[in-house]
Amino acid sequence: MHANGCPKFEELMARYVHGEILRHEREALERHLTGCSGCTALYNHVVEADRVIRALPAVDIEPPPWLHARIMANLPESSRETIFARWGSWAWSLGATCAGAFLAVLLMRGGQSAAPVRVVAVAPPAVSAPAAEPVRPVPDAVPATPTPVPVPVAVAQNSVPPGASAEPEVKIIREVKIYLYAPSAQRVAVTGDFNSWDPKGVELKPAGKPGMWETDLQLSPGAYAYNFIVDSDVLVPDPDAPNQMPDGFGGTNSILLVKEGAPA
Amino acid sequence: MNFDDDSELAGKVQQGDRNAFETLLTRYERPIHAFTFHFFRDPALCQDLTQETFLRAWRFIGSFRLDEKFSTWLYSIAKNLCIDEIRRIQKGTTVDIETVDPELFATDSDAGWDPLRATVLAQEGDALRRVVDRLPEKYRTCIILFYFNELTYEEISAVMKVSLSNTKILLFRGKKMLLDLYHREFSPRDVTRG
Repeated sequence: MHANGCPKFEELMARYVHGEILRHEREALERHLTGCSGCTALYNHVVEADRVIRALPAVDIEPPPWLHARIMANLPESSRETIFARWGSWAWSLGATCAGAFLAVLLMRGGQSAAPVRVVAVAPPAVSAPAAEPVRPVPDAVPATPTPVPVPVAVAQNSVPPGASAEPEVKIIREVKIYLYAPSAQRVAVTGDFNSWDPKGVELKPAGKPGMWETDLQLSPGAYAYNFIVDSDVLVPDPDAPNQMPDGFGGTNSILLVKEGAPA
Repeated sequence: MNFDDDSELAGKVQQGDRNAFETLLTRYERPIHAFTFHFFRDPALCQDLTQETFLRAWRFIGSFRLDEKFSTWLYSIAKNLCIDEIRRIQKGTTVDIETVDPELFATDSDAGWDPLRATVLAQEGDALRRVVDRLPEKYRTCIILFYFNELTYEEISAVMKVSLSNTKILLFRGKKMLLDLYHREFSPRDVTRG
């Protein structure tokens, strides 16, 4: 159905419908409506639209619980510094991850031109945790659907610039447990910035629960782009990783943030 | 909720106060996420847009005037990001939203009305939202802000940067266009239309 009213009454009718019309304007419009079927149809049409929209069922659109922490973790140190200072080490680490991902995918595509390399958003439920929580217990029962993992993020801050301190440099290594639920996989590995995107990756071992794979990584604090390699030829991002970023090829890299803190 | 102190908090954020920013984030994370969700309904994209909205708010808080309403300033950022994203998705195709006839927005529906499909979509409450997706940007933004985010006319006027009167005209036209498209796609009357 199309309802088309008189153009010169459109504004008046809009204000009439939305409650901002003077008395003499309203009276003039109502007189017009009684004699103009087009405008009457238009008025009824818009009133019905209002009713239909208001009758829409509510949609559950709660943001995931970890989004708040992710935003705060990604907040630059100061809101008033220059571009470079604002993003600070974050920009450099993320830039490096982009470059790493770019090169890695180029290499992998070059070596496997006949096989699809990247699959996006088809990953089985997977969870990963940085070492701030050294070992996250594997669920007793494998969930039917993945549960969003609370954000385990932190950004290394206030790091001492190289050479700024006379004290001996202490290299902090954190242990990170990575695990993935992939019941149909024959082989699962993880690759990323931490191993220069080695196409073989670091193999995950069966975790003792059906379909669950796991491994431990020793990593310095920082941000690492990573993906899983499932059955040797499919790169899969971690769908539950709180931080993701485009890989530059239409795919996604997951980002692992390793907290700076006391050595593990 | 009383958000009278939004501007006070924003003033603190302008001095670099992260705690004040986090308080504002706590207040507005949900409505901004909901706003983006009504545009895209893609969880990952909406999370990114929500994050980017707040990161930009932090970055550009210096441009916020304390006599403005913080929420509408924030919605403006989110709105611009959503429109940028729509245009990116459309890959640069531009539409003159003032001159396009709603007829043009009915793409594949005239081929025939599928009662099963219509029933399923309607039952899911999804049909109308799909039609909202097809509205030109500014009508879509107005409809979402008014009906789904429940902003007032004045707030929408501030977000859209148009007069109050034009806000009501946008809503009026948006609703007309919406129901035209809705009937075209989901009404059995279209079957006999020829």
